[in-house]
Amino acid sequence: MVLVKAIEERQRLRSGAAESPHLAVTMPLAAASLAVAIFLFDTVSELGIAVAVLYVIVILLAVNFTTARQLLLVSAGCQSLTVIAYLIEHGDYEAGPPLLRCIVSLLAIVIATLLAYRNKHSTQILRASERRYRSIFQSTGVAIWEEDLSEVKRELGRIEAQGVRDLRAHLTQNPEVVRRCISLVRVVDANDAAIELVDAGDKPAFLARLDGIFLPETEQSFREFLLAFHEGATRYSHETVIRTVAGERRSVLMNVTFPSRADDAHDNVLVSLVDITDRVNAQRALEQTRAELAHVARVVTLGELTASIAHEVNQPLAAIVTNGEAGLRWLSRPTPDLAEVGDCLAEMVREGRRAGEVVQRLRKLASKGTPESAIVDLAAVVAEAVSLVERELAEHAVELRLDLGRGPQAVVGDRVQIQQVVINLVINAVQAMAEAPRRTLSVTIAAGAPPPRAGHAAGVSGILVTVADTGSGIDEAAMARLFMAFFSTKATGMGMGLSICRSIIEAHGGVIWASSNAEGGASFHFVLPPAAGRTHEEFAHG
Amino acid sequence: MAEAAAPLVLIVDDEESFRGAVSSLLRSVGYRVEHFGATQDLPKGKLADEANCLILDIRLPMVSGLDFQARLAEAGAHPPIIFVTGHGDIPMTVRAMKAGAVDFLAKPFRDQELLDAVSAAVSRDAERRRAEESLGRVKAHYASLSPREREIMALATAGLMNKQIAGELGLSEITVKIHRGRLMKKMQARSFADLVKMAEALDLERPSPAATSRAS
Repeated sequence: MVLVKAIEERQRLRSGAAESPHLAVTMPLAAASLAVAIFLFDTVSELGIAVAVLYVIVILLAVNFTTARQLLLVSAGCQSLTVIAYLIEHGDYEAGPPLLRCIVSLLAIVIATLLAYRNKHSTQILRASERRYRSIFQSTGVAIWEEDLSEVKRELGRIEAQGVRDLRAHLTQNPEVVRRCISLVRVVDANDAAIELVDAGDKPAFLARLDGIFLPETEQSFREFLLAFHEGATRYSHETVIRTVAGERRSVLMNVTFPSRADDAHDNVLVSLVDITDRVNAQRALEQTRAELAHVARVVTLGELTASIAHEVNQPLAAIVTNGEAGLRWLSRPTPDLAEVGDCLAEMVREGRRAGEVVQRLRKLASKGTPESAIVDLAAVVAEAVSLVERELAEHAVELRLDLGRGPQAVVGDRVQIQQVVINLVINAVQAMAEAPRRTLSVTIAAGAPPPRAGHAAGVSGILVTVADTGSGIDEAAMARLFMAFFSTKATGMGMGLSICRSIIEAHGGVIWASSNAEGGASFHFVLPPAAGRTHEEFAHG
Repeated sequence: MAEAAAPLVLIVDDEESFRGAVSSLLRSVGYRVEHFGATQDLPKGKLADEANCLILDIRLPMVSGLDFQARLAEAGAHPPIIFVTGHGDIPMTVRAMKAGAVDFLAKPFRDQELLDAVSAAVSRDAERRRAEESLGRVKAHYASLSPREREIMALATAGLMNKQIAGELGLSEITVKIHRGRLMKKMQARSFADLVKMAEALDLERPSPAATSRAS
């Protein structure tokens, strides 16, 4: 294959090996013979010219096959030959044109030597550096390959010449153009890690398979890459997926360095890939485990809501039965009162539907479901969560103060999970107030921000939900460990509730914390970013 | 005599569906019903005067049914109360019955259970009203007695004979007899035993032991 040969040739040049074998012999031979010829000519000829200057040619020839040191020796040799020739021809050191010619020749040789030596030295350093680079390239753990994009560049130029102004739109609408560009990429070199990543076996196999390693997802990434290349970016970075020769999918982080524009002659780019498949898989597994844990916690929470559940379901049932019985009695009167019967039936239907809705709500709360990401009204979500635990509050004679702000408060998140957090906080509050003389639970929504933490500025403002109780409060000692897994102040507590709450809130891009109330009791707060706008980072870390 | 109005039952429960259903049930058998969501909504006068039965949820938010019952007793109103609850717990039941509730029902209950309880409550209430009325009449009669007649009534119902009464009050026996006859008529007592019962009902002051021992 032509491609393979070209690569081999290049490799050799780079490693600083000599030219092909037969050249290695002819050059020194030619140089030596030339030196002898010049010497003879110099000694013998009667011409009034500085023949010895011709030794410069010998020096220039020698540059090609000697080391720097050897060059100096050759130079010394030529200089001696010059002097010897002069002595032989002209005998003494008398001043005069011959001596002058000799000195001029010597000067020429010396200057030529110096220049050649410097050149040689630089070239040697360059070659050593090339060797070092090559070995790094070849053996580094990161997969790197070199691509020649000259044909791609031409293609993009052709597209532009056709009058396409918005390249992005053009590429999005014509995916076959992207594929064509992929096929125009010439991979000129690849290191061991690249071959291993793609499972190619060896370099030729790798080079033949660039098309094969691209998946549709990779095509999208390639489109961005083309746009970056076209716009003259210096770097491009993207997470994408490739397919190995064996057909396996690997998640990779791709990094491309483009040549600077000044270097137009070379359109070669370096592409490095890091295999992040393991990391991506671990992340996915973690997400799944988190979701499962949250699910378990929800089911456990449901267990703590027995009073509410029993009531919520029994109430409509009892109403249905009583209405039915009443209806029957209305019918069995001497003159049946059909209007009343109608009312009873309507009530039965209404209560039946209500029971259905309650069951539905409870099922959703207990469901595993993958976390959804939707825009929800936090005020409505909190209100519904509170209504689910209303009976618990009544049961424990807890006074509820609800202030959900004005109007809807939009956040992005999973309704069920947010409700889980609210229910958990409320139940904790109710339990904390079990022995308290005054039992008041306040749930408020307002604009707010997380408190400043050590080393960070105050957090960015968002929507703040506070659940405050008048219970036994939080110990200073416990405060620091409150949200840690397996920490509980209850005798039979599992200690998972708050840590799961924190995990949920943080997954939503929010912050959760607790504080002690001045008038006694504790407050739990969480802030969520409002739906329009902030990024997770900005929000959680100020 | 005007036709008696159907008995009036009041329902207080925070669950609208429950109130509506029970109201329909009671009306279907002829009761008059009014229902409220909270004890605060009950008009004061109605409760004491007209209601023949009260159906209360024991766990009303804010004021528990039991507390309300206690408060009513303090205010002198004693309507028969039937407690209902969505959560049946025994200590509550015991407290309720001890405090004089007519019955205690756990939701969901069968219609017959509730109707029986209401029926019992209404009878109890009717009886109480009759007793009150009766006492009222006795009191009115007593008020019409002269002081002398009252003295004689007190002594006679304490067990003194006419002779002793006469001696006690410094009257002749005949005078005593005449007074006795008159007061029997005024009190509308059909027998002496009746009179004794009335005296008990009125809770008349008993004469001092010295008087009775002198008499014997």
